[in-house]
Amino acid sequence: MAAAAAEATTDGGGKMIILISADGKRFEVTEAVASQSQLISNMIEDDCTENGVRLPNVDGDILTMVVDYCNMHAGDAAAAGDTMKASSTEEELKKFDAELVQALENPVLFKLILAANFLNIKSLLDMTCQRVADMMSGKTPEQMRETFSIENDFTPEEEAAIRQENAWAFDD
Amino acid sequence: MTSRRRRPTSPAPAQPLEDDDLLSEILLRLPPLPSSLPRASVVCSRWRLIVSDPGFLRRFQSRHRKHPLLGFFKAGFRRVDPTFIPTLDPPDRIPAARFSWRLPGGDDDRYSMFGCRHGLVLLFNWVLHRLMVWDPVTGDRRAVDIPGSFLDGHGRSLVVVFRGAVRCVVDGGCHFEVAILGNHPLQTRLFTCVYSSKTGDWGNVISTEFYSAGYICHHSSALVGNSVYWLFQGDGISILQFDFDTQGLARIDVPPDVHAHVVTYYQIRIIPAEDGGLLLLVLPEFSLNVWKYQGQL
Repeated sequence: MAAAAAEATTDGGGKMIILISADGKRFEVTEAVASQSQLISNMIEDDCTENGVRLPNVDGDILTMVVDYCNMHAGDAAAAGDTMKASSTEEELKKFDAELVQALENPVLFKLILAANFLNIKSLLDMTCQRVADMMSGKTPEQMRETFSIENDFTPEEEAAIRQENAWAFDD
Repeated sequence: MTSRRRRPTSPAPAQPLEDDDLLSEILLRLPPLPSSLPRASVVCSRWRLIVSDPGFLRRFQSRHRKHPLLGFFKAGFRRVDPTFIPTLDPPDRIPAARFSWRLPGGDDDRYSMFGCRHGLVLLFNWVLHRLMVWDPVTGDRRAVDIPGSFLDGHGRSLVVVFRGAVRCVVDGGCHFEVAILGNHPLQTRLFTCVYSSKTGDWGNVISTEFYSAGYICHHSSALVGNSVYWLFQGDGISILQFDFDTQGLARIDVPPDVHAHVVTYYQIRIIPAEDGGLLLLVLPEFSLNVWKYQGQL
Protein backbone atom coordinates (compact mmCIF):
# COMPACT_ATOMS: atom_id res chain seq x y z
CA MET A 1 0.00 0.00 0.00
CA ALA A 2 0.94 3.65 -0.03
CA ALA A 3 2.88 3.36 3.23
CA ALA A 4 5.29 0.71 1.83
CA ALA A 5 8.76 1.27 3.28
CA ALA A 6 10.54 0.85 -0.08
CA GLU A 7 9.04 4.06 -1.48
CA ALA A 8 11.38 7.01 -1.29
CA THR A 9 10.51 10.68 -1.76
CA THR A 10 12.24 13.35 -3.81
CA ASP A 11 13.32 16.80 -2.62
CA GLY A 12 10.02 18.13 -3.87
CA GLY A 13 8.17 15.57 -1.80
CA GLY A 14 6.88 13.52 -4.83
CA LYS A 15 6.71 9.77 -4.36
CA MET A 16 9.09 7.64 -6.42
CA ILE A 17 8.14 4.66 -8.59
CA ILE A 18 10.37 1.94 -10.02
CA LEU A 19 9.84 0.97 -13.67
CA ILE A 20 11.34 -2.36 -14.74
CA SER A 21 12.02 -3.02 -18.43
CA ALA A 22 11.72 -6.37 -20.23
CA ASP A 23 15.47 -6.97 -19.80
CA GLY A 24 15.39 -6.15 -16.09
CA LYS A 25 16.69 -2.55 -16.12
CA ARG A 26 15.26 -0.44 -13.31
CA PHE A 27 14.33 3.24 -13.58
CA GLU A 28 13.41 5.34 -10.56
CA VAL A 29 11.06 8.20 -11.47
CA THR A 30 8.66 10.48 -9.62
CA GLU A 31 4.94 9.84 -9.76
CA ALA A 32 4.53 13.11 -11.64
CA VAL A 33 6.92 11.91 -14.36
CA ALA A 34 5.43 8.43 -14.57
CA SER A 35 1.84 9.71 -14.58
CA GLN A 36 2.25 11.01 -18.13
CA SER A 37 1.66 7.37 -18.98
CA GLN A 38 -2.06 6.86 -18.61
CA LEU A 39 -1.39 3.18 -17.96
CA ILE A 40 0.87 3.94 -14.97
CA SER A 41 -1.35 6.80 -13.82
CA ASN A 42 -4.21 4.30 -13.54
CA MET A 43 -1.97 1.91 -11.61
CA ILE A 44 -0.96 4.67 -9.19
CA GLU A 45 -4.62 5.41 -8.63
CA ASP A 46 -5.24 1.75 -7.93
CA ASP A 47 -2.24 1.57 -5.56
CA CYS A 48 -0.46 -1.23 -7.39
CA THR A 49 2.98 0.25 -7.98
CA GLU A 50 4.65 -0.46 -4.64
CA ASN A 51 6.69 -3.42 -5.90
CA GLY A 52 7.78 -1.67 -9.06
CA VAL A 53 6.02 -1.67 -12.43
CA ARG A 54 7.15 -4.44 -14.75
CA LEU A 55 6.91 -3.57 -18.44
CA PRO A 56 7.52 -6.85 -20.28
CA ASN A 57 6.87 -5.21 -23.66
CA VAL A 58 9.46 -2.46 -23.36
CA ASP A 59 13.22 -2.98 -23.70
CA GLY A 60 15.63 -1.05 -21.51
CA ASP A 61 17.03 1.09 -24.32
CA ILE A 62 13.50 2.15 -25.37
CA LEU A 63 12.43 2.72 -21.76
CA THR A 64 15.49 4.98 -21.35
CA MET A 65 14.13 7.19 -24.15
CA VAL A 66 10.62 7.12 -22.73
CA VAL A 67 11.86 8.09 -19.26
CA ASP A 68 14.03 10.89 -20.75
CA TYR A 69 11.00 12.14 -22.66
CA CYS A 70 8.75 12.03 -19.57
CA ASN A 71 11.41 13.73 -17.41
CA MET A 72 11.68 16.54 -19.98
CA HIS A 73 7.91 16.95 -20.23
CA ALA A 74 7.02 16.56 -16.55
CA GLY A 75 7.46 20.32 -16.13
CA ASP A 76 4.68 21.11 -18.64
CA ALA A 77 1.83 21.10 -16.18
CA ALA A 78 3.83 22.61 -13.32
CA ALA A 79 5.08 25.49 -15.48
CA ALA A 80 1.66 26.31 -16.90
CA GLY A 81 1.02 28.97 -14.24
CA ASP A 82 4.37 30.66 -14.85
CA THR A 83 4.32 32.31 -18.27
CA MET A 84 8.01 33.22 -18.42
CA LYS A 85 9.13 29.76 -17.45
CA ALA A 86 6.64 28.07 -19.74
CA SER A 87 7.74 30.00 -22.81
CA SER A 88 11.44 29.31 -22.26
CA THR A 89 10.92 25.61 -21.68
CA GLU A 90 8.60 25.32 -24.67
CA GLU A 91 11.48 26.04 -27.01
CA GLU A 92 13.77 23.63 -25.22
CA LEU A 93 11.10 20.95 -25.39
CA LYS A 94 10.59 21.42 -29.12
CA LYS A 95 14.33 21.07 -29.69
CA PHE A 96 14.51 18.02 -27.42
CA ASP A 97 11.54 16.37 -29.16
CA ALA A 98 12.91 17.04 -32.64
CA GLU A 99 16.31 15.62 -31.73
CA LEU A 100 14.74 12.60 -30.07
CA VAL A 101 12.87 11.37 -33.16
CA GLN A 102 14.93 12.78 -36.04
CA ALA A 103 17.95 10.56 -35.52
CA LEU A 104 16.11 7.28 -34.96
CA GLU A 105 16.37 4.35 -37.37
CA ASN A 106 13.04 2.81 -38.33
CA PRO A 107 13.22 -0.25 -36.04
CA VAL A 108 13.89 1.93 -32.99
CA LEU A 109 11.26 4.50 -33.99
CA PHE A 110 8.71 1.68 -34.36
CA LYS A 111 9.61 0.26 -30.93
CA LEU A 112 9.14 3.74 -29.46
CA ILE A 113 5.68 3.96 -31.09
CA LEU A 114 4.73 0.59 -29.61
CA ALA A 115 5.97 1.67 -26.18
CA ALA A 116 4.11 5.01 -26.35
CA ASN A 117 0.97 3.16 -27.41
CA PHE A 118 1.33 0.49 -24.73
CA LEU A 119 2.11 2.99 -21.95
CA ASN A 120 -0.58 5.29 -23.36
CA ILE A 121 1.51 8.47 -23.55
CA LYS A 122 -0.55 10.53 -25.98
CA SER A 123 1.96 13.29 -26.79
CA LEU A 124 4.79 10.81 -27.44
CA LEU A 125 2.53 8.64 -29.62
CA ASP A 126 1.46 11.73 -31.55
CA MET A 127 5.04 12.86 -32.12
CA THR A 128 6.35 9.44 -33.20
CA CYS A 129 3.39 8.73 -35.52
CA GLN A 130 3.86 12.18 -37.06
CA ARG A 131 7.52 11.36 -37.68
CA VAL A 132 6.57 8.22 -39.65
CA ALA A 133 3.90 10.16 -41.61
CA ASP A 134 6.53 12.82 -42.42
CA MET A 135 8.78 10.07 -43.79
CA MET A 136 5.93 8.86 -46.06
CA SER A 137 5.09 12.34 -47.26
CA GLY A 138 6.26 13.15 -50.79
CA LYS A 139 7.21 9.54 -51.55
CA THR A 140 5.85 7.44 -54.40
CA PRO A 141 4.11 4.16 -53.47
CA GLU A 142 7.25 2.27 -54.56
CA GLN A 143 9.46 4.41 -52.34
CA MET A 144 7.08 3.93 -49.39
CA ARG A 145 7.15 0.13 -49.85
CA GLU A 146 10.94 0.22 -49.98
CA THR A 147 11.34 2.52 -46.95
CA PHE A 148 9.05 0.46 -44.75
CA SER A 149 9.68 -3.03 -46.28
CA ILE A 150 6.05 -3.51 -47.31
CA GLU A 151 5.06 -6.24 -49.71
CA ASN A 152 2.89 -5.19 -52.64
CA ASP A 153 -0.01 -7.65 -52.62
CA PHE A 154 -1.84 -6.18 -55.64
CA THR A 155 -1.74 -7.87 -59.03
CA PRO A 156 -0.33 -5.57 -61.75
CA GLU A 157 -3.89 -5.23 -63.13
CA GLU A 158 -5.32 -4.26 -59.74
CA GLU A 159 -2.58 -1.72 -59.14
CA ALA A 160 -3.06 -0.17 -62.57
CA ALA A 161 -6.81 0.14 -61.95
CA ILE A 162 -6.30 1.87 -58.59
CA ARG A 163 -3.77 4.28 -60.08
CA GLN A 164 -6.19 5.05 -62.87
CA GLU A 165 -8.77 6.33 -60.35
CA ASN A 166 -6.57 9.37 -59.65
CA ALA A 167 -3.93 9.19 -62.35
CA TRP A 168 -2.85 12.82 -61.75
CA ALA A 169 -1.68 11.93 -58.21
CA PHE A 170 1.19 9.93 -59.70
CA ASP A 171 2.61 12.69 -61.93
CA ASP A 172 5.98 13.79 -60.66
CA MET B 1 -8.77 -2.97 -10.36
CA THR B 2 -11.11 -2.34 -13.27
CA SER B 3 -11.28 -4.57 -16.29
CA ARG B 4 -11.22 -1.74 -18.85
CA ARG B 5 -7.67 -0.85 -17.83
CA ARG B 6 -4.82 -2.63 -19.50
CA ARG B 7 -2.16 -4.15 -17.34
CA PRO B 8 1.44 -4.80 -18.37
CA THR B 9 0.71 -8.44 -19.19
CA SER B 10 -0.37 -8.01 -22.82
CA PRO B 11 1.22 -10.31 -25.40
CA ALA B 12 4.07 -8.92 -27.49
CA PRO B 13 2.57 -6.38 -29.91
CA ALA B 14 2.88 -6.45 -33.68
CA GLN B 15 4.88 -3.85 -35.58
CA PRO B 16 3.10 -0.46 -35.83
CA LEU B 17 2.54 -0.79 -39.58
CA GLU B 18 0.95 -4.22 -39.02
CA ASP B 19 -1.48 -2.90 -36.41
CA ASP B 20 -4.52 -1.34 -38.07
CA ASP B 21 -5.10 1.15 -35.23
CA LEU B 22 -1.52 2.40 -35.24
CA LEU B 23 -1.32 2.43 -39.03
CA SER B 24 -4.51 4.57 -39.04
CA GLU B 25 -2.94 6.93 -36.51
CA ILE B 26 0.09 7.32 -38.78
CA LEU B 27 -1.85 7.73 -42.05
CA LEU B 28 -4.12 10.32 -40.38
CA ARG B 29 -1.02 12.48 -40.01
CA LEU B 30 -0.21 12.57 -43.72
CA PRO B 31 -0.39 16.14 -45.07
CA PRO B 32 -3.88 17.15 -46.33
CA LEU B 33 -2.66 17.34 -49.95
CA PRO B 34 -4.66 15.85 -52.85
CA SER B 35 -2.08 13.16 -53.64
CA SER B 36 -1.54 11.89 -50.06
CA LEU B 37 -4.34 9.32 -49.81
CA PRO B 38 -4.41 8.19 -53.48
CA ARG B 39 -0.69 7.37 -53.18
CA ALA B 40 -1.07 5.60 -49.84
CA SER B 41 -3.91 3.51 -51.27
CA VAL B 42 -1.58 1.98 -53.88
CA VAL B 43 1.03 0.74 -51.38
CA CYS B 44 -0.84 -2.45 -50.42
CA SER B 45 -4.36 -3.70 -49.85
CA ARG B 46 -4.28 -3.06 -46.06
CA TRP B 47 -3.40 0.58 -46.61
CA ARG B 48 -6.09 0.87 -49.26
CA LEU B 49 -8.75 -0.55 -46.94
CA ILE B 50 -7.81 1.91 -44.20
CA VAL B 51 -7.71 5.08 -46.31
CA SER B 52 -10.98 4.17 -48.11
CA ASP B 53 -12.86 3.71 -44.84
CA PRO B 54 -15.52 6.44 -44.35
CA GLY B 55 -14.69 6.67 -40.63
CA PHE B 56 -11.01 7.24 -41.44
CA LEU B 57 -11.91 9.90 -44.04
CA ARG B 58 -14.09 11.72 -41.49
CA ARG B 59 -11.25 11.71 -38.96
CA PHE B 60 -8.77 12.84 -41.63
CA GLN B 61 -11.05 15.75 -42.51
CA SER B 62 -11.66 16.86 -38.96
CA ARG B 63 -7.94 16.60 -38.15
CA HIS B 64 -6.96 18.84 -41.07
CA ARG B 65 -9.34 21.77 -40.68
CA LYS B 66 -7.20 24.10 -42.77
CA HIS B 67 -7.47 22.82 -46.31
CA PRO B 68 -5.00 23.69 -49.05
CA LEU B 69 -6.15 25.95 -51.87
CA LEU B 70 -6.44 23.55 -54.84
CA GLY B 71 -7.03 26.27 -57.41
CA PHE B 72 -9.81 28.58 -58.52
CA PHE B 73 -12.71 28.69 -60.94
CA LYS B 74 -12.69 31.08 -63.84
CA ALA B 75 -15.96 32.11 -65.45
CA GLY B 76 -17.47 34.91 -67.46
CA PHE B 77 -20.51 36.74 -66.18
CA ARG B 78 -23.04 34.99 -68.37
CA ARG B 79 -23.19 31.83 -70.37
CA VAL B 80 -19.67 30.66 -69.72
CA ASP B 81 -19.05 27.39 -67.90
CA PRO B 82 -16.78 27.70 -64.87
CA THR B 83 -13.33 26.29 -65.61
CA PHE B 84 -11.07 24.99 -62.86
CA ILE B 85 -7.54 26.44 -62.83
CA PRO B 86 -5.27 24.33 -60.56
CA THR B 87 -2.61 26.19 -58.58
CA LEU B 88 -0.71 23.40 -56.83
CA ASP B 89 2.35 21.70 -58.33
CA PRO B 90 2.35 18.01 -59.39
CA PRO B 91 1.55 15.53 -57.97
CA ASP B 92 -1.12 17.64 -56.26
CA ARG B 93 -2.13 19.40 -59.46
CA ILE B 94 -5.71 18.30 -60.09
CA PRO B 95 -6.62 18.47 -63.78
CA ALA B 96 -9.48 20.80 -64.82
CA ALA B 97 -11.44 17.79 -66.10
CA ARG B 98 -11.72 16.38 -62.54
CA PHE B 99 -13.85 19.41 -61.57
CA SER B 100 -15.88 19.71 -64.74
CA TRP B 101 -19.21 21.48 -64.35
CA ARG B 102 -20.61 20.15 -67.58
CA LEU B 103 -21.91 16.61 -67.27
CA PRO B 104 -21.25 14.31 -70.23
CA GLY B 105 -24.39 14.44 -72.37
CA GLY B 106 -25.80 17.11 -70.06
CA ASP B 107 -28.42 19.60 -71.15
CA ASP B 108 -27.64 23.00 -72.52
CA ASP B 109 -28.92 24.96 -69.56
CA ARG B 110 -26.58 27.80 -68.95
CA TYR B 111 -25.55 28.74 -65.47
CA SER B 112 -23.62 31.85 -64.48
CA MET B 113 -21.19 31.60 -61.62
CA PHE B 114 -21.94 33.70 -58.55
CA GLY B 115 -18.77 32.65 -56.76
CA CYS B 116 -17.30 29.90 -54.62
CA ARG B 117 -16.47 29.52 -50.97
CA HIS B 118 -15.72 26.75 -48.46
CA GLY B 119 -15.42 24.22 -51.28
CA LEU B 120 -18.83 25.00 -52.81
CA VAL B 121 -19.59 26.74 -56.10
CA LEU B 122 -22.77 28.81 -56.46
CA LEU B 123 -24.28 29.12 -59.94
CA PHE B 124 -27.48 30.70 -61.22
CA ASN B 125 -29.69 29.96 -64.19
CA TRP B 126 -31.43 33.16 -65.33
CA VAL B 127 -33.99 31.32 -67.44
CA LEU B 128 -35.06 28.71 -64.90
CA HIS B 129 -34.68 31.14 -61.94
CA ARG B 130 -32.73 28.35 -60.26
CA LEU B 131 -29.59 28.35 -58.14
CA MET B 132 -27.26 25.39 -58.10
CA VAL B 133 -24.89 24.66 -55.22
CA TRP B 134 -22.17 22.41 -56.57
CA ASP B 135 -19.50 20.54 -54.60
CA PRO B 136 -16.82 19.90 -57.25
CA VAL B 137 -14.97 17.35 -55.09
CA THR B 138 -17.93 15.01 -54.49
CA GLY B 139 -19.85 16.07 -57.61
CA ASP B 140 -22.98 16.74 -55.50
CA ARG B 141 -25.37 19.30 -56.99
CA ARG B 142 -28.25 20.83 -55.08
CA ALA B 143 -30.81 22.80 -57.10
CA VAL B 144 -32.59 25.60 -55.24
CA ASP B 145 -35.39 27.57 -56.89
CA ILE B 146 -35.53 31.26 -55.96
CA PRO B 147 -38.32 32.33 -53.55
CA GLY B 148 -41.75 32.12 -55.17
CA SER B 149 -42.49 35.74 -54.21
CA PHE B 150 -39.73 36.87 -56.60
CA LEU B 151 -41.91 35.68 -59.55
CA ASP B 152 -45.36 36.55 -60.84
CA GLY B 153 -47.95 33.85 -61.56
CA HIS B 154 -46.48 33.29 -65.04
CA GLY B 155 -42.90 32.59 -63.99
CA ARG B 156 -41.70 36.10 -64.84
CA SER B 157 -39.37 37.97 -62.50
CA LEU B 158 -40.82 40.53 -60.13
CA VAL B 159 -37.46 40.77 -58.40
CA VAL B 160 -34.38 40.21 -60.54
CA VAL B 161 -31.73 38.21 -58.71
CA PHE B 162 -28.34 39.56 -59.65
CA ARG B 163 -25.90 38.33 -57.00
CA GLY B 164 -25.56 35.54 -54.51
CA ALA B 165 -23.08 34.16 -52.03
CA VAL B 166 -22.68 30.75 -50.40
CA ARG B 167 -21.11 29.81 -47.09
CA CYS B 168 -20.78 26.65 -45.01
CA VAL B 169 -22.03 26.70 -41.43
CA VAL B 170 -20.68 24.20 -38.93
CA ASP B 171 -22.92 23.67 -35.89
CA GLY B 172 -22.90 20.06 -34.95
CA GLY B 173 -23.31 19.04 -38.59
CA CYS B 174 -22.25 20.93 -41.69
CA HIS B 175 -24.74 22.68 -43.91
CA PHE B 176 -24.68 25.60 -46.32
CA GLU B 177 -26.48 28.91 -46.59
CA VAL B 178 -27.07 30.95 -49.72
CA ALA B 179 -27.82 34.69 -49.64
CA ILE B 180 -29.27 36.28 -52.77
CA LEU B 181 -29.60 39.91 -53.67
CA GLY B 182 -32.16 41.22 -56.14
CA ASN B 183 -33.79 44.43 -57.19
CA HIS B 184 -37.07 45.56 -58.72
CA PRO B 185 -36.56 47.23 -62.10
CA LEU B 186 -38.87 50.12 -61.20
CA GLN B 187 -38.05 50.57 -57.53
CA THR B 188 -35.06 51.79 -55.58
CA ARG B 189 -35.28 48.84 -53.25
CA LEU B 190 -33.00 45.86 -52.78
CA PHE B 191 -34.33 42.45 -51.77
CA THR B 192 -32.39 39.82 -49.85
CA CYS B 193 -33.26 36.33 -48.76
CA VAL B 194 -31.30 33.45 -47.21
CA TYR B 195 -31.70 29.75 -48.02
CA SER B 196 -30.55 27.18 -45.48
CA SER B 197 -29.82 23.58 -46.47
CA LYS B 198 -30.58 22.67 -42.84
CA THR B 199 -34.24 23.67 -43.12
CA GLY B 200 -34.36 23.14 -46.89
CA ASP B 201 -36.21 26.43 -47.20
CA TRP B 202 -35.88 30.18 -47.71
CA GLY B 203 -36.19 32.61 -44.79
CA ASN B 204 -38.17 35.84 -44.95
CA VAL B 205 -37.59 38.20 -47.85
CA ILE B 206 -36.10 41.44 -46.52
CA SER B 207 -36.58 44.60 -48.55
CA THR B 208 -34.37 47.63 -47.95
CA GLU B 209 -34.92 51.14 -49.34
CA PHE B 210 -31.92 52.03 -51.43
CA TYR B 211 -31.58 55.64 -52.39
CA SER B 212 -29.58 55.13 -55.53
CA ALA B 213 -30.10 52.78 -58.41
CA GLY B 214 -27.05 50.79 -59.36
CA TYR B 215 -25.67 47.36 -59.86
CA ILE B 216 -23.23 45.01 -58.24
CA CYS B 217 -19.85 44.87 -59.89
CA HIS B 218 -19.31 41.46 -61.39
CA HIS B 219 -16.89 40.14 -58.84
CA SER B 220 -17.19 37.48 -56.23
CA SER B 221 -18.17 38.52 -52.75
CA ALA B 222 -15.92 38.70 -49.68
CA LEU B 223 -17.00 36.97 -46.47
CA VAL B 224 -15.74 38.45 -43.19
CA GLY B 225 -17.22 37.07 -39.99
CA ASN B 226 -20.95 36.68 -40.54
CA SER B 227 -21.16 39.33 -43.25
CA VAL B 228 -20.78 39.11 -46.98
CA TYR B 229 -19.59 42.17 -48.95
CA TRP B 230 -20.15 43.15 -52.57
CA LEU B 231 -18.84 46.11 -54.53
CA PHE B 232 -21.75 48.28 -55.61
CA GLN B 233 -21.63 50.65 -58.55
CA GLY B 234 -24.30 53.33 -58.14
CA ASP B 235 -23.69 57.05 -58.28
CA GLY B 236 -20.17 56.10 -57.30
CA ILE B 237 -18.55 52.99 -55.92
CA SER B 238 -19.58 51.76 -52.49
CA ILE B 239 -19.63 48.46 -50.60
CA LEU B 240 -22.77 46.56 -49.67
CA GLN B 241 -22.68 44.62 -46.43
CA PHE B 242 -25.16 41.82 -45.79
CA ASP B 243 -25.17 40.17 -42.37
CA PHE B 244 -26.23 36.50 -42.58
CA ASP B 245 -27.32 36.49 -38.93
CA THR B 246 -29.26 39.76 -38.59
CA GLN B 247 -30.13 39.76 -42.34
CA GLY B 248 -29.45 43.50 -42.31
CA LEU B 249 -28.20 45.22 -45.46
CA ALA B 250 -25.97 48.28 -45.13
CA ARG B 251 -23.93 50.49 -47.40
CA ILE B 252 -20.33 51.42 -46.64
CA ASP B 253 -18.83 54.40 -48.47
CA VAL B 254 -15.33 54.02 -49.85
CA PRO B 255 -12.66 56.69 -49.13
CA PRO B 256 -13.29 59.71 -51.42
CA ASP B 257 -9.84 59.51 -53.02
CA VAL B 258 -10.61 56.00 -54.30
CA HIS B 259 -12.80 57.58 -56.97
CA ALA B 260 -9.85 59.58 -58.24
CA HIS B 261 -8.04 56.32 -59.05
CA VAL B 262 -10.84 54.22 -60.47
CA VAL B 263 -11.91 54.46 -64.08
CA THR B 264 -13.70 51.12 -64.33
CA TYR B 265 -14.72 48.60 -61.71
CA TYR B 266 -12.28 46.10 -63.20
CA GLN B 267 -9.61 47.99 -61.30
CA ILE B 268 -11.13 47.44 -57.88
CA ARG B 269 -11.56 44.46 -55.55
CA ILE B 270 -12.53 43.72 -51.97
CA ILE B 271 -10.94 40.82 -50.10
CA PRO B 272 -10.90 39.58 -46.50
CA ALA B 273 -7.81 40.70 -44.56
CA GLU B 274 -5.78 38.00 -42.80
CA ASP B 275 -6.62 39.49 -39.39
CA GLY B 276 -10.37 39.35 -40.04
CA GLY B 277 -10.81 42.85 -41.51
CA LEU B 278 -11.83 43.95 -44.98
CA LEU B 279 -9.42 45.28 -47.62
CA LEU B 280 -10.16 47.39 -50.67
CA LEU B 281 -7.64 46.99 -53.50
CA VAL B 282 -7.34 49.47 -56.33
CA LEU B 283 -5.06 49.02 -59.30
CA PRO B 284 -4.98 52.41 -61.09
CA GLU B 285 -2.16 51.52 -63.47
CA PHE B 286 0.91 49.67 -62.38
CA SER B 287 0.72 50.26 -58.66
CA LEU B 288 -1.61 48.63 -56.14
CA ASN B 289 -3.33 50.86 -53.57
CA VAL B 290 -4.78 49.19 -50.49
CA TRP B 291 -7.29 50.65 -48.05
CA LYS B 292 -8.28 48.87 -44.85
CA TYR B 293 -11.77 49.39 -43.48
CA GLN B 294 -11.59 50.77 -39.93
CA GLY B 295 -15.28 50.67 -39.09
CA GLN B 296 -17.20 48.05 -37.19
CA LEU B 297 -17.66 44.89 -39.30
